[in-house]
This record gives sequence, structure tokens and C-alpha cells, in this order.
Amino acid sequence: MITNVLFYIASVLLVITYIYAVLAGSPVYSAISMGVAFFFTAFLFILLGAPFLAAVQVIIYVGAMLVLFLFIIMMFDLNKPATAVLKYKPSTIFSYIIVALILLIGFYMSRGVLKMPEGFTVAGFGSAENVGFNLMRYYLLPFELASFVLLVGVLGAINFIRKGRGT
Amino acid sequence: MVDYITILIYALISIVVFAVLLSTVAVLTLAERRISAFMQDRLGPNRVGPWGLLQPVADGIKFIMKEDVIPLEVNRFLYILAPLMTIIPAMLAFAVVPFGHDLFLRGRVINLQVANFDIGILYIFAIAAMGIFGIIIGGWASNNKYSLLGGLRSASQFISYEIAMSLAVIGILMVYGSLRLNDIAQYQGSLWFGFIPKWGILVQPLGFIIFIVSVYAETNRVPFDLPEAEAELVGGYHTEYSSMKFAFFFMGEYANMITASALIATLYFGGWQVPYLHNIGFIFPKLGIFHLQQWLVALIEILSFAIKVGFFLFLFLWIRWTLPRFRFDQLTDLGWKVLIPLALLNIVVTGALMMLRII
Repeated sequence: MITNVLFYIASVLLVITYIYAVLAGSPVYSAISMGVAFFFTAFLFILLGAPFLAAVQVIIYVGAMLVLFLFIIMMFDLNKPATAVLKYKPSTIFSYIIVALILLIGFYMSRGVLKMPEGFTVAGFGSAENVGFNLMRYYLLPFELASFVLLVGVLGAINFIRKGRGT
Repeated sequence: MVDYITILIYALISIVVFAVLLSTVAVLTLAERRISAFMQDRLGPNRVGPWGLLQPVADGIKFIMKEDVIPLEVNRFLYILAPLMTIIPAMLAFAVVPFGHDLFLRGRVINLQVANFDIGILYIFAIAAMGIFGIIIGGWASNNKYSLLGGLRSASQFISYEIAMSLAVIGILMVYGSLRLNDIAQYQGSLWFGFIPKWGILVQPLGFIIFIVSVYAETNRVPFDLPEAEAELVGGYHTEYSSMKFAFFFMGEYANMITASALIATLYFGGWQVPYLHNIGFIFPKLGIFHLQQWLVALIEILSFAIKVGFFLFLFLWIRWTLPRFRFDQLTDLGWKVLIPLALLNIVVTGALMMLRII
């Protein structure tokens, strides 16, 4: 009962903060509003009985992504309207590899490799032990593929930076 | 059926922990000044009360009575919010640190910690991630170039060293197989080759070095206190702050130091463990058992934890007044090019040793 009430309150606030993140005039307010929204998302995970996901949500999205966003926003004076963006073309090979890997994951999903195992809704299914066990047991291939996509992204980013230096 | 007595006991524990944390922060501000004074052959503040022990009280009164200046050009909302965003996470992070064996009281199991979460150490990382925003936003909202630079340095420093810190902790998690700090402390009481306590420092020596360096960077302490380097940035992110708002930043930093010391002690030095002490008393291999009462054991363990944390707090101060500050490019180089590869190496070596059943 109280869980339902909390769920609806958190959901409404989540939607409001995300809308504000889009509509806010200042990019800094946008970023902070998005950070608050990440917390509400983490809260929903806790209500669903998945504390591990909630912690990871906060650590990765708030601790890494949002810090980077704020860093970039503060480095460049984004209070001017952003008109000149992204003059370069993405390196074709890397983008092809990423698209191919995403398609591969989609293929495996459709094959039913990613279907929910038995006993998905038992108590404690969102605990750290269970998440780790399932990742390593049933979802090892998709998990590794996802990490490979990230690696390709990292290499692509490094490639863009090195181009600017004329090497 | 809700067990109200258990709730009451935990409420009591959390109040006590909060009070001890705050008073340790107060004592630490004095200790910092006294110890730095002794290292520089001075006396330090010794006028208020015996040995200057009442100095923190005088400082607190001064902070509250001072005029609270809010500069005209700041972003008022975020400017006021930033100190709160620093101090609240700093106070929350200590909640999962255990400081003693589980107690058994009339059928109830009482953990000597505020909250025994399933996610344990991830909770501390998540809370630490929140704490950094106070500094970044405070630096930005102050509308001051020095403050902004302090905030930016803090952001980049945090990202660089958080990765190394998490990777170093993964080694510990592999060896002890649990995210709960209470379990990690518990397993460190088991014996290696039958007589050596299996403390983290012995199992993960490289991980310990990486962790302690990253923790110093995460808490913005010398030699990594670039966000508030007074020679370059006036006061860094808190240049524009005065009275109690400044005090909140200050207290947040000290509270983070306490949590960091408690974490170092818990992960690498056995937490509340005393070698050979179990919940029935001392058990020496091949020498026999020396029985003790449960409350006496708990007392010894809390004392042992306090001594360990106290030592690491002293180490923080010792290093601050001994080492010079890094240059910023040296700092990022150390984080990305030295600590992260070493941490990855540590994970691989730990995995190999575990496969060989050495640890």
C-alpha cells in the first residue's frame, strides 16, 4: 500500500524533473534537474526490490555522467545559444561496427537468449548476488558484447581527439 | 509484527553514531591545527580550555555569530544549496560502516552499525558521488573565476580517481566475496596458514596502496588538494563563502576524512577485528581459549576500531603537513596512466592467485 503511494509520488516527480530538464533555460539547471531525476529513478529501483541497480544507477549516471556534463557545461559558456555543433563526420568504420553489434544484440534478443529465466520474481531477485549470477550465467554473451560496444566507443573517442592534433 | 524494540535500538545506535561523528569532526579541526603546529615547532591553539580542547566550541560560536555575506552576483538558489549538498552526503556515508561484532540480546541479533545494506560498499560510492556536486555547483554558483576553476578541478579529479578506487576495491570483493562491510570485516578474522589473520593489507598489498592514494584524491586532501590550492586559486570553490556556509564545506571535508579512514580500516585492516578475538573470547591456535564476556568483547572491538580509524586520521594530517602539492597534469597522469593500469593488474593477479587457491 505505502509502496504504491511512494511509487506514484516518485513517478510524478520523475516526469516533472525530466520535463524541467528539457525546458529549463540554463543548461546548468537542466543538468541538475536531470540529476534529481536520476535519483527518482534509483528510488523506483529500490521500490522494485533492486538495491543493486539503484546503487549502480546513482554511481554511473550521477557520479560519472552528470559530473562530466556539468564539467563540459561549465568549461564552455553555454549560456549563449548553441548553434555551431559537430562539424566533423563520424569515423565510418567505428559507427558501422557499433551498428553491427547493436543488430547482433537485437538478433540474440529475438532468438530468446535474453528471455527471463524461471523464478524471476522470487524475493531478492534484484540483490547483488542474483544480478551477478544471472549476468555471468545466462547473459554472458550479451554482457560481453555490450562491453565490446563500449570499448569501440572509447577507441572512437580517442581517434577523434588524435585527429585534431594532426597525427 | 514490527519489532519496535529493535527499531528503538537502531535509532539509538544511529543517534550515537551521528553524535560521535560530529564530535570527531570538531576534535579533528583542533587536532589538525595542533599537530601541524607541533610539526612546525609551534604550539598551536592552546588558550581555550585545557590544552585548547574547547577551541572547536569557540570556533563554532564564531562561525554562527559571523555576518553571513551573500555576494550580489551569485546564483542565490544554488549558492545556498551547495553547502548543504556537501555536508548531508558526508554525514550519510558513515551509516554502513560496522564497528563491532554482531551482538546477541535475548534472541535478537544486533549489528553494530547503523544500516546493514545488501549493497554495502556500493552505498558509500553512491553517496560519495552525490557529495561531489556540492563542490562543483558551489564553485559555479559563486560566479567567480577562482571558484569555478576549483569546482572544475574537483570534477575532473573525482572522475579520474573514482575509477582507480573502485577497481582497487574489486580486488577486496573478489577475495572476501561480499559487498557488505560487516561480512568483509568478519572474514578478515579467519586465519591464513592457521595463524596469520587474513587482513586486507596482507591479501591485497597493491590494492591497498592504490586505494589509499585514490581516497586521498577523493577527499581533496594534500597532496591532491588542487580544488582549494590557496597559492593559485585563493580559496578554491569556497572563496565566496562565509560564516556557517563555509563551515559546512569544512565539516563536510572532515566528515569525509573520517569515513575514508573508517573505510581503509574496514577494508584493509580488519575493521573491528582484533587478531584471534572471537565472540566468545581469544582463541589462540595451539595455545587454548581465553573466555571473555560478550559485552567485553564488543568493547574491545569498538576500541580497536576507534584506534585504527584514529591512526588513519592522524596519517591524513601527517601527510598533509609533510608532502607538497601535485601539479595538475601530474595528478591526472598519476590517476589515468599509473593507478588504473595497476588496479587492473591487481585484479588479474588476484584472480590468478584465487585460482591457485593461495588466497
